[in-house]
Amino acid sequence: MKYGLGMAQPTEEEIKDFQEKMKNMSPEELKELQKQQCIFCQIISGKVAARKVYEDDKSIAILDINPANPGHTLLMPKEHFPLMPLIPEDILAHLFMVSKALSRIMLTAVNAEGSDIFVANGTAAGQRAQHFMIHIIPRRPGDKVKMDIPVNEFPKKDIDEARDKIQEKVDLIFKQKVSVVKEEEPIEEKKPEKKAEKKNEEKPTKGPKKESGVSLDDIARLVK
Amino acid sequence: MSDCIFCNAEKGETKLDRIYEDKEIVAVVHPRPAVPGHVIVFPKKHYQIFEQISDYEAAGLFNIANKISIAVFEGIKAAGTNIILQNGVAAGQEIPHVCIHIIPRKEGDNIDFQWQPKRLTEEQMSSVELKVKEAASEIGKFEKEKKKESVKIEKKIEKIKAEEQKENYLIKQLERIP
Repeated sequence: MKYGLGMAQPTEEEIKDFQEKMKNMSPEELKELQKQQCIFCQIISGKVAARKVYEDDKSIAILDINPANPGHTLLMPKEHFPLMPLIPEDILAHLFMVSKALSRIMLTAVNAEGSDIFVANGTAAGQRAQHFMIHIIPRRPGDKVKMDIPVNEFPKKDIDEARDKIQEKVDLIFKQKVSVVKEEEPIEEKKPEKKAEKKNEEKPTKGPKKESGVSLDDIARLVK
Repeated sequence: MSDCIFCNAEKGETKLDRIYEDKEIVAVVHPRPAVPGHVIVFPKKHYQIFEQISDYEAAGLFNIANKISIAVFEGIKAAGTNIILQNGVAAGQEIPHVCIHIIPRKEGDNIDFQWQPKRLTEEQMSSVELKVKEAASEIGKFEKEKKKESVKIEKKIEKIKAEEQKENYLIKQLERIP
């Protein structure tokens, strides 16, 4: 099979040798190595054949050889990036503008009635190649493509715990508190009720403290 | 639009648990999640399908989704993330408002987005390739910024200011008359 489905497992010695070499490599050399090993980089450079359907200076789109539906396209940056978080904003912006255009043309090109725009970051998410790509899958009713997002039941505690951890990181990344808009206050007040078992004293002061950096610690302590 | 849960949430009629908000985009915890940590990112403006959004808005939306996916990944120490946009009823879109799903993944989480590949003959593949290529050749330039609108608005503001100044001048003249 062409795409990286059959990757041979290296021996431990080989891994160690490789790691040693990697330490001594410059970033440029590492990039070159990635390019040599990446089947999609080889497609982009023209060394391996593929069915190209769109190309511009930053991106390239090819048909997937194992399509979910006819017209299933893989859109990828010409530059090698293994994951979405590593892609600079301007290239990411360009990629998604192209994905929107490609999704639109599927309507006429393959009589699609909808499309799935799908990204897998990490093997656990279904990423099968080390080169970032966006799947644009044309959809028709009754096409039996298994892309439904399941709905499952979880204890409220689990959901709230995950939510609070994510909120912390979001605030760090964006350097803002959610309660920027006044409408948020009713929702914010719900939180102290949920954690009534824990500390009651800190909640009234949560309001005025929101603008300083202290409230993140408060939240962290509450979560613990 | 009165049926749209997201628009109603914006008006404050239904409550969604927000984790991020700016002028144009909101990210909330999915009310019926696939996994704890399932987040959805959507534009405040009502757009039913992806094709209706302008290019720069789509780019902005996905850039925020990217950052939120980093927050999800680091926050709950996921092994991976899926970023999915279901465009159209045929794709499983349930709410008629464009939204991006960010789903944290772990090994053995019983979620499977792996499709069954369809077997197409070389001929069929070639035919599809030609059709898509032809349609894609019409993809032109992208509207990367809000240029046109802002220029128009600036001109309008200038006109209004100029008119206000004219009126003020006339009023001043009247006031001088004893």
